[in-house]
Amino acid sequence: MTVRLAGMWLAAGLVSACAGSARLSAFDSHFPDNLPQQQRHLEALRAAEPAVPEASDWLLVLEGEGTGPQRSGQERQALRFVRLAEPARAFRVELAVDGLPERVGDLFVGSHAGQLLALSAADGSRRFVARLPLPHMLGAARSGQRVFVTSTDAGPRPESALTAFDADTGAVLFSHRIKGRLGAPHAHGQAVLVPFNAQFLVAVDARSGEEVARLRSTDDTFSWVRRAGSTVRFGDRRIYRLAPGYAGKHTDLATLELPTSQLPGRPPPYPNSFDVKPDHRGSPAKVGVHFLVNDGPGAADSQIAGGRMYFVFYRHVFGLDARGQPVWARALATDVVRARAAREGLAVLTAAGELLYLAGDDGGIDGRVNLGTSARAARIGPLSWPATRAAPMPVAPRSLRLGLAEVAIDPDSRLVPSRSFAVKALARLQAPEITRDLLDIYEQATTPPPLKRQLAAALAERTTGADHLLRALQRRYDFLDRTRPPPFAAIVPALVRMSEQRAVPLLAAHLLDHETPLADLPLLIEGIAELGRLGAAQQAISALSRFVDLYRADRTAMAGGEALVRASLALLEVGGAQERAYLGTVASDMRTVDTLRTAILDAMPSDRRDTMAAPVRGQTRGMESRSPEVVPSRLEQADVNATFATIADDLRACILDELSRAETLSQVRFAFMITQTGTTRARTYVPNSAEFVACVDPKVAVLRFPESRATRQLASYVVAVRAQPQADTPPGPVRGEGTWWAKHVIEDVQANTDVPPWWQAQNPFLLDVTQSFVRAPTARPAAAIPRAATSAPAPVPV
Amino acid sequence: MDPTTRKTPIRPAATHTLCWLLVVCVGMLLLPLASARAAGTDRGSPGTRRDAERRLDKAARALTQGTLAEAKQALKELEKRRGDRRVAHLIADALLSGVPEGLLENGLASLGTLGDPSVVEALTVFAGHRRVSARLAALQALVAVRAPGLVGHLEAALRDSDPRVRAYGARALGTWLAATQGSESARRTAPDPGRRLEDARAATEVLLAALARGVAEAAVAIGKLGSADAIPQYGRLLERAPLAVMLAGYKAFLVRKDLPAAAKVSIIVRLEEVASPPVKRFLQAHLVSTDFRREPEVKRSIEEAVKRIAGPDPERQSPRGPAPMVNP
Repeated sequence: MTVRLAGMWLAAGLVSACAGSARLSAFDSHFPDNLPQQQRHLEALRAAEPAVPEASDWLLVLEGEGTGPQRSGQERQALRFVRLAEPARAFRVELAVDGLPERVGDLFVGSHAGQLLALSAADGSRRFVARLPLPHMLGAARSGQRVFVTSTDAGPRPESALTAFDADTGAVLFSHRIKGRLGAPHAHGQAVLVPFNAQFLVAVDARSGEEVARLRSTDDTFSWVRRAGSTVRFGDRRIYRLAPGYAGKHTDLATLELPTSQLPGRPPPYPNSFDVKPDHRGSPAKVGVHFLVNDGPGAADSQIAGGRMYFVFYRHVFGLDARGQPVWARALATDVVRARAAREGLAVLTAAGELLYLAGDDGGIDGRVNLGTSARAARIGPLSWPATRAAPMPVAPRSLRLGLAEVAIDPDSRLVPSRSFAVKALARLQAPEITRDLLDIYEQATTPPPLKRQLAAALAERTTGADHLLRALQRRYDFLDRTRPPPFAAIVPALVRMSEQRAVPLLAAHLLDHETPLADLPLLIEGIAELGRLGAAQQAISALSRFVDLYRADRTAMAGGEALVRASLALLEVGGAQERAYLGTVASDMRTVDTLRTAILDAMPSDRRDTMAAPVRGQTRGMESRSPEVVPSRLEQADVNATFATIADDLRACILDELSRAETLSQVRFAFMITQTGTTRARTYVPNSAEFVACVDPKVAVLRFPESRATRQLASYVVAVRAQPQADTPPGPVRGEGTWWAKHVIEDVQANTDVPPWWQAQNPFLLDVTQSFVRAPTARPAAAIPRAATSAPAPVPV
Repeated sequence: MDPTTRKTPIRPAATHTLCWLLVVCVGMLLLPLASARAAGTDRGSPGTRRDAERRLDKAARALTQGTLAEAKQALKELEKRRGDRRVAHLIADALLSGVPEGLLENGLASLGTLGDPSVVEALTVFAGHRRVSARLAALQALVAVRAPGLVGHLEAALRDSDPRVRAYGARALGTWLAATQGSESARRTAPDPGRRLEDARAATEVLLAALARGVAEAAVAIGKLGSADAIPQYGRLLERAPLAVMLAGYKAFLVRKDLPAAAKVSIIVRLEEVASPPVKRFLQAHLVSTDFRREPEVKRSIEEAVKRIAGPDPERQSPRGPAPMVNP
């Protein structure tokens, strides 16, 4: 054996010896997890030191008004410690503290400016001051004579620390500083449990500071850990009960998931302990769920105690059943700064400094204690429930309906989410009065638009309470009585859903009432039509006809004419042949507004439309239907246009011929004089080529215009000639391909495929001619037939 | 001379009387005919009747099918046929079947001119038209035809959302009811005097509410219409409504002859409590413009109030006189 070989053996021996003796430090990323022996070790540590019962009937109150400690720097804040059983032993201290201190055994522990402050829970005297490794305290726990505190720098890549202090002297016993996030700790016998990076639950030996166990989730997150008696719970949305056998899946342990999906903000069971705020900094826990958990003997027996949980949203408090549905609700006068669930109900401390014991069954007040000071934040210990309900009872328990209505109608704009929750719960109740309640809430001036929409949706789903809706419909606008029209958006859909045909006369009255907002008319018309279809056809037809009659020719009363159009279409749907005939007459009348006439014509069956179209054009242009007794003083351009429309085919042929000769032709003009008897004289044309004049003049010369009282009248007629894309033109972009503007072009062209031929269209004075035809005049393609374009300009007077 | 053949002489006076009677009888027979001819509704000869019918048909066609100008012209022609009850219905039917905005107001005015109360139903429909001008025209027509239930229509106008309609409702209510129940003769000839008084009382209540809601025109209407009982209620609004508006109403109270002097004195006392220069000017102007021979105590009361209220004397007033009041 050479010296070299001996050296190698020695080195290998040293390395193996060192490797065998090295221990991984706490929170090391290489620490093994989810091992059964670790969990057995943890159970042994729990059993080694039995849990000390938590002191009860105490409150620690941060005095003052507002939301949490807004003060900063060195300003001192007043903390009041109250023992409900021994009011004489209450004390008050003023000190500079970042948040509300936590109670750990016989100490209150808080922090300020990177220092840990420990006060005696007996009299508030200062026990010790120690330096924290990192400035922000996250939480504290107590195991024997040791106080464990987690702290963080709250940076973007945070560092955290777990530090053990001596409970008497504040001496640092050990400290682990890591890169990562630690949550608030909880003691578990002789172990301290700390959530780590939201994925791990780390157990540290309270005496040595060594990590003894680690749970790692592969399908969930851990953001908090809590101890209740001898039971440890941890988790995030799911509540895990700590027990042996966890292997990384949420199915390995008994879990409980609260039915909070319907609650505003979907609050977690407990606040996230990685966050420095809000609880740690003393901000009141104004939004959250409160509950107790019953643990049965089996691992899977965890359930909400008494089947009752509570939801607090500022000053709204709800009692919920095991499915998360409200069983009672109440709106308190001031915000809740802290709440604590008990077997009998929920204790809430209000910002006014009043501790209320709300019964779990009905929300009635079982007791109240006035602390005599306003509160910004508080911690509440376990409470003994009052033996009997407070007498005299200041606020009687009320029905769920009244409680929810009270919450829903609350004008506080912060509370819209809980009002919305109350509205949803209210809408699920079937009592007819609920319909009235929802309507009342809807009509409140303080109800914000989102809530109104929700109320309208809730009302639309109602199946009871039609009488209340009908009664609401009887109300009308009154300047003197200061009443407004009823909220149709909320009422009409509900009545339609209920098929309430008694509503038709009331809706009709509102339809014809000038005080009904224009925007509500379409809804009213839809409601009348729908109820008409369901049976009240005659009433609906009568109302709609009268409305159409009154306003069909009025261009200003019906801005845009949407309501008129809807009424006509509804009449067409509800009515029969008689109504169709009536609408045909309306569409044929020259006085009917254009929008309505077009809409009726579009909606009519095609066969009827064809028969109606001619009189419409005729009347519009004052020809066929004009009474011989009524001779106008002068002809209008519409008369001229209508007369030219009768020779449109002939003109088209002439214009196409001229196009073959003049590629750049864009417009054709006719100017002439109309005599009193309707004949023409002094006709001129542009272009004035001999061929074109020879073609068109014989056709124009035979035209007969309507008679007028004017002896002579100059008139003109213009045809715009425009190119039109053709199928045989060079291939353009295909729909769905090419640039976005090209797609639009394609869509427009395809959208116009239903346009009637130009000689049947209302504006026949535009000829669209293919570009390819213009480019290749010698080969006139079949596709070069002129077509109308819907966006054609009106004829221009010469 | 044979006494049997002797003619009995007719006394000249009797002859004269007979002649006049004959003239009157003939005149009574001819007068309706002449008026009917003048109105174009001569139903005498078949030819004339056919001509009238044709003209009526022509006007009706122009009203429903003609241009706006033709329809307006037709309305003017139809207005001339006041005696023909078909005309009002013809116009009403045309309006109800839908006419353009300009024509509607003209048609309603024509219905008012024709004064036929049988078209009240149509007018009521247009009193609820969405356009303010149409509502106003319908209300004016309702007043013109002395529609049954007019007070109700005018009270409804006071509840309208448009201030112009409310103002017209207040003015018309005051004028109409004061005219129908103000004078003794009107009260005697009214078909139901109790009903009219009841109408006036109810209308006063509505007008007081309207005044409280800022309808200034209601003040004068209350002054024209209100009984002595209404004066204290009116006075309570003195602190809410503008003084000029209130003084206009008080003026209407003070000029009424049917109001007891004690009630007028109570007005002076109430105004004296306000004791401002505008009140003094108002009382001074009333003192100058009114004949107090039948109400010396009112005059005395005003004179004392004027003395007590501090402010410029009439001699020192601006040459332009007192400031104009609202709705005098």
